[in-house]
Order: sequence, then structure tokens, then C-alpha cells
Amino acid sequence: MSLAKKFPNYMQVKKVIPDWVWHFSRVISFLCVVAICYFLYEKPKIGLFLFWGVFIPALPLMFFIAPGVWRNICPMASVNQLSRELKINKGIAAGKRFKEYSYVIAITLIYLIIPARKYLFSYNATSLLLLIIFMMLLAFIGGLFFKGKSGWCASMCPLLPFQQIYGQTPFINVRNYHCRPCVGCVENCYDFNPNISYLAMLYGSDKYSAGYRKFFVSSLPGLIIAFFTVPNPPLISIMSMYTAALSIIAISIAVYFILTTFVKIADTNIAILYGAISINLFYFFILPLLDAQYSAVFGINIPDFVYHIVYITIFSLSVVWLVRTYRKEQAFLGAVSEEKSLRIKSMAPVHEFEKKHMSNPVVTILPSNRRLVVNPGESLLEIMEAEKLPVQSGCRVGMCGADPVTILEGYENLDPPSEEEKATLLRLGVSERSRMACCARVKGPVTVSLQPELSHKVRVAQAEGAQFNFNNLVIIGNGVAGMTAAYHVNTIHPNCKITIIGRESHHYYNRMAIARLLESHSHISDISLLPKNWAIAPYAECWLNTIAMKIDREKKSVEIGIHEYVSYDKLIIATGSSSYIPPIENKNLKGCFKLREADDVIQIRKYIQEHDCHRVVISGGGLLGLEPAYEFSQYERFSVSIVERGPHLLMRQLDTRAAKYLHSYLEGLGIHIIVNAEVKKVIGKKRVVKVQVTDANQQNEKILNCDLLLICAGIKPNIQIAKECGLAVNRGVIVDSHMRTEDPDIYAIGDVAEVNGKIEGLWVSSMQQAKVASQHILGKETAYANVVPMTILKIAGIDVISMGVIEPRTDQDSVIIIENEREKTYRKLVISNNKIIGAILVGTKLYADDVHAAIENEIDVSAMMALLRSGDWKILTIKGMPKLSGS
Amino acid sequence: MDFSAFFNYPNAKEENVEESEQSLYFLQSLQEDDWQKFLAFTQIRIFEKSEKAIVYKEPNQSIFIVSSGSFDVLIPSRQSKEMQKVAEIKEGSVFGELSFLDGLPCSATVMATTPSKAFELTKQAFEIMTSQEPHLSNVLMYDLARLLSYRLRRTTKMLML
Repeated sequence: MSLAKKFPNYMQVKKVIPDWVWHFSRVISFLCVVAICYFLYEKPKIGLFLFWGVFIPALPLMFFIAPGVWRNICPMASVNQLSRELKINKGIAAGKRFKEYSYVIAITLIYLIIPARKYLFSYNATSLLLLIIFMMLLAFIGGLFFKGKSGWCASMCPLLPFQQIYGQTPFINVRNYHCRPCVGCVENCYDFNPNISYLAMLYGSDKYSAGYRKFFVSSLPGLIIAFFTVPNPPLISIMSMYTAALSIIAISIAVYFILTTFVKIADTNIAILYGAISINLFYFFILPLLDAQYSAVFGINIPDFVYHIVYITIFSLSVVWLVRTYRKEQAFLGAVSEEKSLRIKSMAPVHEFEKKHMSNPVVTILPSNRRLVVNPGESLLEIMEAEKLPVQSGCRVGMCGADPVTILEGYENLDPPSEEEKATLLRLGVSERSRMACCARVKGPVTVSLQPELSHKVRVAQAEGAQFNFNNLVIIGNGVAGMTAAYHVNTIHPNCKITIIGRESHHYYNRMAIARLLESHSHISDISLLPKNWAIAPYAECWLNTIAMKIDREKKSVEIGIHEYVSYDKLIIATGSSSYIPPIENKNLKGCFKLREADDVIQIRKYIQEHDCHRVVISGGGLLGLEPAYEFSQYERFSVSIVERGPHLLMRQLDTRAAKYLHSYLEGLGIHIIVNAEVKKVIGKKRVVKVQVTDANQQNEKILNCDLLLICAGIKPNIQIAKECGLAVNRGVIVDSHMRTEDPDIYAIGDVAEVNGKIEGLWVSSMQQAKVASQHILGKETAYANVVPMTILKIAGIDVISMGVIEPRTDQDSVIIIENEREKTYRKLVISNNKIIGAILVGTKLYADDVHAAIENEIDVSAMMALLRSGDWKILTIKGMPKLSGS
Repeated sequence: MDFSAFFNYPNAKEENVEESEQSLYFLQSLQEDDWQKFLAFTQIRIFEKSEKAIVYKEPNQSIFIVSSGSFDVLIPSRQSKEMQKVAEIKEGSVFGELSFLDGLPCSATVMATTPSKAFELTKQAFEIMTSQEPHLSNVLMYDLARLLSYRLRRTTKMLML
């Protein structure tokens, strides 16, 4: 224990001097008292000289340097401990009152004895003799009745207050030799721990006890000055002497309290200063007097320099003492608070864990310079999200461009970037040492900066000099599809004028991250996806807050809401989709929101603050509903309920068994989930206060308290404008494999496009479609192939990944399920014609990339069925997949 | 303030001493397996000398367990704005628990005085643990509550005269 080293108690001090030496010294010191008494009786002058001229002047210095020596050999202590050694003491524990007032008794004795010296004890040997006998008697009686040293030495002895002040930081720590065994007779015992006793009293919870001690130390310099400066009676009357002495003492006390009030240092520090001043004053006054006395007694003149040396030594010692005492107090306070802090009793399991992870890579993240020991295979994004560092996330497959970071050191210790990631980095115009955090899986030590670093390279158009049959491209929609198309066209055909008509009032942002806007610091600019050096600026105009009203296919122009016309050579419809609002009674009441766009979240946030919302009900347990549900659950003030129509959460992505794990995890986070039910009615006068929920059969209904209703029931493509201009539409705008509508100059991409009979509605497919459409516009015949949708649920603490087909479509399709209920992991493969066509991973992301690659590349798995069934899917990695998972 | 550690008299059997010792041990009831599970939710952080783990008046959402090295606890002194050391914490100490609990800014700065390591349990990791291993969170919360109760009792005792 460090306390033992810093503040050893007497049992922790090494025994240097053998007991017999102490026994012997004790006898000697007792004999000395007897001798003094003898002289006082027989030869009063010698007795008085020995007592006041030799014994008393030496005491403070002894208290100052090695108080323990005195504690061990004090004749009063010997008398006090006599009955204990003779085993005749009663051992009564001191009562509360006695404990409280013993110090007051001690200082009262001091105030009685010291001034009385001036007219009595210093001159009258008999009175001194009686005083000594009286004190010895008191010490004996105290020892006879009270336990340990509590009857005198550690309570009422008038020397104790001096010892506690002068001896609070002994230069030499001496082991207590009396108390064997210690019986714990007093609190904060000076004998037990001389370095701490006084401090513990001053800082103790008993304000009175601390107050007595502060009072005494504050009076001490006054007492000393008064003793040495006020003339002795009969030069003045005893009355005048007391008056003068009291005035000086009063001034001393007053100065102390003025200092503690006005000087901004701790009052205990002023107490220390008073202690140092006192001992200096004492020797300052007494040394010349001793000089005179010694000269008179011994008849020799001790040269002045001897006294000067003695005084300077004492002064220097007191300066050292002051510093040591101050430092000790700081250390004491530190130790006291250290004792308060919460601790782990045994660090063995912690060290064992640490040892196991010692060889793991260290990731250093700037600008905060945070160093983390991470598990190999973790992505930088996962690491930074867990630490709540300011990083955005989006598609989590390196394509959306939300999370570029700069790798300052250890680029080679990351998994190499995929082609998709490289394309994203190029698009963002970031430097060569940049990575997308979501894809950069750590293998070794890495230093990464959150600050993206722009490339200094000037982007060169890829097809300079080529001729194009169009110079005017209009894109309706500034979401991922529209903006990606603008980028690709501009890259190849930089002279083409591009007009982007954006309905929302914000520039291109990360729609996947809008729930983040609920977070305390977030602002729309935090989720912006516009590259810093958006190079197409001179040729691309982005009109925000502008609604495209009508397409005139004959005049090749688009009418916008402020009655202007924008003509086009080529038009791309990328109008995206809107929330589907199911028929809910009273859904227009205040407090009911959809959640699709940044503005929705901004409105929601405003509403929450204005109406102090706590109870959030989310209608829809799909991807759209779960992410905001999780976001709200992160704040303790919200209680969150999800109402899902289907029998389980994530109906499109999970099967019943997989959903069970997600369900129990979310419930564990405190999210209340109601399945097989829907919100039927919103209840409230001015704003929503309750919602009525009915089960699928419309039989049972339930009322939920609700301040905020979020409707996240699904999306519907915004096909209106396409439909009105006569383009073929189904659920979406029908396009061919080049993303072209039946009008050769009009393309449709993203959530609004229906290709091969499907609306993909995913970020990654929108990007792919934008690329295909722009390449086709530029004259390149590429065809869109449906991507295998991979959905990653963005909820921390549980991995939920779903891809492709999740249930067998025919009897010929087979299924492999690897489930571990204890570890809460679930893996499922759907296999058709020897190919994996879909998968679900819950509680693990192991093999996710491999499985996805196996689906996309249509790998023949007929030879690996046994291994796949055993749960060992490493084979998929070994097969030489383009991407490696973070296994 | 509690000075019992300085005056642990060999034969004295004061209830308070034992009670305080017990109250201050964190996660004492965890078995070895549980410890490994618990630590898997934490993040090992490496601190250089003079690096601050938490900063006075700034938000913090994590509990830290010092596994090696030492840290100073600094608070601004009453008089000057300068930060003053009030405690030193070493291996086995826990800090950050107050702001972890109440979400308020830190009451002190904790700065490494040597190269040090600490295990960090973030609020988010705690939430995840609550869902995945509820009994661990239960023990942790109970221990924190016990600590607060202990501190409150001591304060009450200090007010009693």
C-alpha cells in the first residue's frame, strides 16, 4: 500500500533502536526528573536553571526534529504507562465529552502555566516542584483509569499541543515503543501516525475539534511574544501583565483570522506558517536570555556567533520544515482523495485480458490523438463510431463517400481498397493516402486523421476532344442518383451544361444518416456529401428548393414551379421516392411525422424541443423505422415503441428466427416492440397525445401514450411528373437496361426507376444505375444488371446483414442454418441450383463480404456443401474472392 | 473526509472501516468468465505522458479503469484558474463514473503522468452490454449506486456533529 510508504504509521516504521535502549533512556529521564525535583527542593537556583534553562529550551527543538524520541522517554508518559505495565490499569475507554474537551483542558493548562511563570514558576522553586509533582500525579491517575494513553499523553498533556504543531512533520520518524499492543484508544492518534494526526484533526469532520487546534496555533506566536516582551511582575502589576499579554495574544489570533479570511490560501497553510513563526520566535527570544544565564552560571562568555549559528540553523530547519509540511499536506490530500476513488480489488482478470490483446494493432486517431488497441479486422469506421468520434457513415461499403479519412501512417496495414472504393476516393478528389473508413479494416498499427486531405492533382476529363451529340443535360433530383449521374457525365464531357433541379432546400446530403440530425450537435452540413472540390461547379447549376412541374417532351423543356422553363438535350429523372403514408385516422394532427428527408428531421427536432416530447411511437418495423428508433433509444429521455404490421421486424430482410435475436436485443435496449399490429388512429385535440393500436385481426386494441408519431411504413416512387408527360409507368418509371425510358432522350434512375420489373431502392443500386445511364448518354452501351442487395442494419451492438433472397423460392432450393443460441448468432444461406442466392447474418459479420461476393459471382458451391453445413465458411474466402471479410 | 486508512489500528474493529473498504471495490462480485465478457465491451486506450483522458467541464460518457501507469486528478483551484492536483490515481482505480452516470460535464481533468493504459467503457458499449449481458450491467450499476450511497452517507456523517 502506498500509504505505508508515504505516511508510515508507527508499526510501519522500521525498528532501529532496540527496546532495551528505550527502557534505559526511560529510567534515565525519570531519574533526571527526580534529580531536578531534588535540586528544586535542596538547591532551588540550580533546580530552576536546570528546568527553565536547559530542559524547557531543548524541548521545542526535540519536538521539531524527533518528537518520537520525546514520546518514548517522557517521564510523564513513563508514569502514565506504569499502571499499564504493572497491569493494574482499569482501561476505561474515554467518553465522548472527555475526548472532545481533553484538548481544551490541555491548552487551558498551557494558558494557566505559561503566564504564571512570569511571576511564580520561573522564580519560585517550590511552586515548580509542586507543579511537576501535580503533573506527574495527573499523568499517573490518567493512566490508571483510562485505556492506552487516552488518560494523559494523547489527550490532556499540555505538551501535546506543542508536539502536534512543531512535530507534525518529524525530520526523524521514531517508532513508538510504548503502545504494545496498540489498543486504538484515541482517534487520529499522534503516537500512531505523527505525520497525519494533526492534519487529520484539522481536516476532520469535527469542526469544533479542528477549531480548538486552529485557535491554539493562531494564539501561539502571541503567547510567545507576550511571554518574552511583557515585563514581569513586580515591574508591572499582575493585572497589567495579563492585560498586555492577552492583547498581544488577541492580535495574534486576529491576524490569523484576517489572513485566513483575506489571503487566498488554505487556512491550514497559514496554520503551518504560524507554527514555523512560533518556533523561530521562541528561539529568537530565548537564545539571548540563555546566553546571559549561561554566562552567569558558568562564568564564561559564549561568543555571539555560536548563538547566531544556532539561530540560523533553527531558522533554516524551519524553512525546510515549512516546505516539507506543505508538501506533505498536498500528498495527504491526494492520498485522501485516492482512498475515495472507486477501485478494482484484483486486477488479475484485467491484466489477463490485456495480455491476450497486447499484440493487437494500435490505431491512433488525429486530431484528438486518441490511441486505441483494436481487434484486427475491425474497420476504422466501427472503431471510430464506438468511440463516438465525429465521423459520418452511409452505405458502409465504400461507395457513398460519407467517411473519407487520411491515413498518415501504416497505409499498408489496412486491407487494400476495392475498385468501388477507389472510384469513390477519385470522385471525392481526396489524396492518395485517403481511405473510406468503412472499408479500411485494420491489420496492423495505423495513424489516421479524421480530416480528409484533398488531392492536388487536377482532374483531367477522360475523353477530351471527343464529340458528343448533346451539350445540355437536365437532371431532376439532387439525391444520390442525380448527383452521381452529373459526376459521371461531367467527368467525360466537361463542357456539357448540367442543370440539376433539387426539390429539397439542401445540397446533396447523406440520406442514410438523417436520423443523426436528432443528435445534439448535428447540422445539415455534417451530413453533406458534396465533395469539397466539387469540380463540376462551372458547368453544373444546382437549383435548390425548386419543383419540376412538367416535362414538355416536344419542346424538350422542363417547367419549374416558378414558371420558368429549362430546356434539355438529355433529361434524367431522378426524383426518388416519398414516404408511403398508410391510412391512419387523424394522421394530420400535430406531432405526426414522416421520416424521409433532412427537413423532416429538422421539423421533428424542432417539435421535440417545443413540446418536450418523451414518448415516441414509430409505425413500421422495417429498416426505415428501426434506425430512428435506435437513435431515440440512445437518449434516456425518450421511451420508444415500434409498431410493426408483420409478425416480426425487418420483414423484407430477415426470417422469423433471425428477427428473434434482433427483437430481444432491441428490447434489451429498452425499445418496446409490438408486432402484428398497426397504428389505426391518432388521438389528441391540438396535437398527438395517444395513438390507438389494433392487432392484425382488428380485434384487440391498445392505447399508447405518445408525444411523437413517426410514420415509417415504406416508400413510393415519385412517378407523377413522368406519368403526366406520358412515359410508361408501372410502380416506377419503366426503363430498359440502359436506364432509358421509352423516350430516347429521357432516362430514369434511382428509386423512381423500374428496371427488369424491379425497383431496387438502394443507395448502391442508384449509384450503379446513374453510372449506366450517364455512360449510355455519352454513347457507351453498358447495361444495368440488378445488384444483389446487401442490407446492413446500422444499429450498434448487433450485426444484422441481409442479402439477396432470404427464403427458398422453390422446393429445389435448399437452406443452411448455423445457429448458436448461447452466443446469439444466426447464419443462413439460401442455395439454388448450386449457387448461393441469399443470406442472413445476425450477431456476426464474419464472412459477410465473402458470401456477398459468392452470390454476385454466382460461385458453384456444390463441392463445398459439407463445409458450409458444418458452419465453416472459410472455404468461401479461400476460393479467391475479390474481397476479404474481417474475419 | 475519511482518515481510517491512516489510523487502521490493529485491534480496532470499527464497522465503518470495513464498510468503507467494501463499498469502494468495483465489480467485486464478477467471476473470471464475467470479467472477460465485461472487458470485451471495453476499449483499451493508451495514454502518453501529459495526455488527458477526461477534461474538466467537457462532456464524457465513459468509465475508465486504469490498468497501468498513473494519472493526476486536476481541478481548478479556488483562487486562480490554474489546475491543481488533488489526487493521484493508479492501477486499479476507476474514474469518469460521475459524468457517465449523470451526463454532466466532468468535474475534474484526469491527466496521465506516465505512459499509461486504461480500459474505457463507453455509454454506448454499456447500453449494448445491458442488452446482451444484462447481469453485467446490473452489477456495474449496483456498484456505482453503492459508491454514491457510501459517499452520501459520509457526507451526512460530516454534517452531523
